[in-house]
Amino acid sequence: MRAFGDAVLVAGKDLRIERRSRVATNQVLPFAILVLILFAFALDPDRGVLSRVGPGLFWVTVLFSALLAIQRSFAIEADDDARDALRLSGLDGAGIFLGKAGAIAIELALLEVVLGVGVAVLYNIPIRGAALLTATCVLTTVGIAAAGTIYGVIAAGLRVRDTLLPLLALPVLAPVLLAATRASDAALAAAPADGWPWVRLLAVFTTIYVAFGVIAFGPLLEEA
Amino acid sequence: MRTRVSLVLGWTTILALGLTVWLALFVSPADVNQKDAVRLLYLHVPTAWIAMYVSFGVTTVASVLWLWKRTRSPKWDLLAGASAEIGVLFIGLTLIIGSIWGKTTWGVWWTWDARLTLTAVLLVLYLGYLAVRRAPAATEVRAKRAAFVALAAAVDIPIVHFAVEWWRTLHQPASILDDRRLLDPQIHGSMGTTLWVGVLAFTLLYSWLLLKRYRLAQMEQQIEDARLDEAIAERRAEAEEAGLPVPT
Amino acid sequence: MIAVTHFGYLVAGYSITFGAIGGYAAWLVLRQRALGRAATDKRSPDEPSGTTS
Repeated sequence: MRAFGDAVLVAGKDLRIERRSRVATNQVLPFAILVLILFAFALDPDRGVLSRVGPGLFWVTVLFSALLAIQRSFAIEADDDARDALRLSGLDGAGIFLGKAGAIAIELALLEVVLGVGVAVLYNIPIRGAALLTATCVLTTVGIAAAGTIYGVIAAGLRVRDTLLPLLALPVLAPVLLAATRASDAALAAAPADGWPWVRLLAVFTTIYVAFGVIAFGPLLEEA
Repeated sequence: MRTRVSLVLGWTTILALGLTVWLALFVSPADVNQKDAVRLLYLHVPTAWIAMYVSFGVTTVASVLWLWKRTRSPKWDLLAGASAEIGVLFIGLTLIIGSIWGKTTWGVWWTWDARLTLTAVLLVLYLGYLAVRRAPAATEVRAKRAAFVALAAAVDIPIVHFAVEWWRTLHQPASILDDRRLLDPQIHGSMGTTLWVGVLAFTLLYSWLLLKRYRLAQMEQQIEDARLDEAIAERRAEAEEAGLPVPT
Repeated sequence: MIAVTHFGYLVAGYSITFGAIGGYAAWLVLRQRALGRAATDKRSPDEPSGTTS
C-alpha cells in the first residue's frame, strides 16, 4: 500500500532531521532526566517512596517529554512553508500520519530505554517481568505517538499551538498513563497476571488512536 | 422573530425547576441511609445525564454533520459549540454537587474512583474543545479542528457510562456510589417522581439555554464576518489610493 | 423542612447550582442585548434601517 511507502519516507525525513539537529538528544533527553531528578528532590529522598512510585514517575516523565517531541515534530514543518510542501507533495495523508507518528515513537522508545535505566538506578528498582514491560512500553509508546500526532496537527493549524497541545493531548492520554503504570507495577511486583488486562486496555486505546489518525490526519493537514 | 418560543420555553423552565425544587426539598422523604443528603441527588443526576447524553450528544452529532460534506453548514458548527459550553457548565455542576454529596456520604470531598476520575477527564476534554473554538484562526479552519476534537472527546462518554462495571473486573472494590437506587423502578412514590421531574426540568433548561446561546453565537459570527468584510474593504481602498493593482 | 440533616450542604449545593445557572442565563441575555445594540449602532450611519442581516 502506498501509505506505508509514504510513511517510511516521512519517518526517514523526520529522523534524518533529528540526527542532524540533535534536538531530541540534546534537549528532550536531558529534560527527561532532569524531571526524574526533580521528582527525587520533591518526594521524600527516603528511597522507599521513589521505588514504590517509580513506574508512575517514569510514565509521567515520558508523557511530558513526548509533548516536547510532538511540538518539535510540527515545528520543523512550520519553517520554509514545509507544511504547504507536504500538502502539495501528493503523499498519502495516512502515510504522513504513520510516518510522523512512527518517528516520534522511535524517538520516545530510545528515550524510554535511557529513562528506564535511569529509573532503575536512581530509584533503586529491580527490573522484572521483561515480557510484560516490553509489551506495555511498545503499546504505550505507539499510543502516545499516535494521539500526540493527531492533536499536534490540530494545534499546528491554529496559532496558539504551544499552549493548546498539552491541554488537548493530556486528558486523552490520562487513561494510557493509568494503564501503563498499573501494568508496569504488576510486572515489577512479579505479578504479571495482574498486568496483562491493562495491556489489553492499552491495545484497545492504541488501535483507536492509530485508526483515528489514519482517517483524520489527511483532512486536518489541509487548511480548511 | 422567535422570541415567543424562547419566552414560553423560559417560563416553562422556571416553573419546572420550581416544581423540582419544591418536590426535592419539601415533598420527597429523606432517605433511610443518606437522610436529607439524598436531596442533592435530585440535582446531581439530572445535570449529569443532561450534560453527558444530551449536551455532549448534540455536540457530537452536530460535529459529524459539519464534517460530512453533504450536510456541512455553519449552523452545525455554531450548534456544537453552544451545546458544548452548556455541557461544560452542567458537568462542572455535576462534579461540584457530587463532591458535596460525597462529603456527606463518604466523608471526603473527592475520591479517585473510576467514574469520578473519568468524569473529571470529560470536563477537561471539553474545556480543550472550547479552547480550540476560541483559537484565532479562520472560521472554517477552526470549525474543522474543533469537530475532530469533539469526536475524540465523545469517546469518553461511553467509557464514563460503563466505567463502574468495567472497573469492577480490573479492581476488586465495588463502587460505593449508588445513585442507581434512584433509578430502581421499585422505588415508587415521590422519590422516583422527583427525579424524573428534575430530568424534565433540566432538559427544558438546557433547551432554553441552547436556544439563547445559539442565537448569541450567530450574532457573534455575523459581527466577526462583518469586521472581516470591513477590513478587506479598507485594505482595498488603501491599495486603490496608493495606485496599486487591486484583485477583483 | 424542620430538623433537616446536612442543612449547610443542601444550602451550598442548591445555591451554587442555581447561582451558576442564573449567572450564565443572565450573561446570555445581557450579551445578546449588548451585541444587538452594537449591530444596530453600526448599521444606522451606513445603511437604511430597513435592511435585515
